[in-house]
Amino acid sequence: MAIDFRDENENLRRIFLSERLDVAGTDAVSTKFAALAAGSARRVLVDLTAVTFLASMGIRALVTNAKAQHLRGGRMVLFVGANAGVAKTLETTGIDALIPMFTDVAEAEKAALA
Amino acid sequence: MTATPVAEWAAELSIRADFAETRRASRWLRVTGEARGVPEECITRLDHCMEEALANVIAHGGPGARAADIAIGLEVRCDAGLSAAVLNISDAGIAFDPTRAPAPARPGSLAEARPGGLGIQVMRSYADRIGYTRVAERNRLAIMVTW
Repeated sequence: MAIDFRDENENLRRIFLSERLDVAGTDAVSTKFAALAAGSARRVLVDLTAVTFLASMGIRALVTNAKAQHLRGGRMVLFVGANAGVAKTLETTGIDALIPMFTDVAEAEKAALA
Repeated sequence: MTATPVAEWAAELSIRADFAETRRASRWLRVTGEARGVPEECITRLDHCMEEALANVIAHGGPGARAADIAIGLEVRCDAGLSAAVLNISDAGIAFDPTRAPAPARPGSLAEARPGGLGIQVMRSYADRIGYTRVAERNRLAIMVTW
C-alpha cells in the first residue's frame, strides 16, 4: 500500500506515502491522501522517507493538500529523513520554501505542532 | 543546462500517449540503461525527465498527441573520457519547445502557490542538456545526462 497513516496524538496525524509518486502513483493515492489530510487532526506530518520517485504530479498533490490544510487553519510539514532524492526534488522546485521540510522527525513534529 | 540540436536516432520503444503507459517506459529505461552501463543515478535523472516530458505530451499535447504513438530511444556515447546518455522522445502533439518555455514564477508563500507548472523545472534541474527540434509534424526532444 502506497499510503497509510497513524494518529500520533489527538492533534497530529502522520501520513506515510511510499513508492513512486509519478502520475499513476499519485492518482492511486490522491483521494485517500486528501481525505486523511482533511481528517480530525489539524496538524499533519507527511512522511516521504519511503517515496522512491517524486514527480511534479506528486508535488502538485502535496501543494494542494498543504494549501487546503492551511485554509482550514491547520499546518502540514514534510519529513524526508535521509531520502536525498526526494529532498533534492523539493529543493529544486522551491517547495521546501512553501511547505516546511525536515530530515529529523522530532523537528518535523515540533514544527507541525508549533 | 543548454539547448542543443537533436540528431537522428532510432526509436526502440513505442508507447501509446496514455498515462497508463508511462511506467512501462520507465521500466524500459531502467533495463536498457543498466544494460548499456548508464550509472543508476543517471538513469534516475533521465527517468525524472521522461516522466515530466511524457506527462506534458499526454496532458497538453492535444488530440494529435493522443492519436499517435510516442517513440523513445536511448543512446549512450563515450568520448574523450566523458560519457553521456541521450534519451530521445518523439511525439505528434502540438509544437512545444520546453527549452524556450519561461520558468514559472516562484510563489512567495503557500497561499500564493498554484499547483502545477513544475514539470519543465524538474526536467531542467535533472538534465545536463535538452535539445528540441520540430520535424515532420512531430516534436523531438533529446535529454542528455553526463558522467
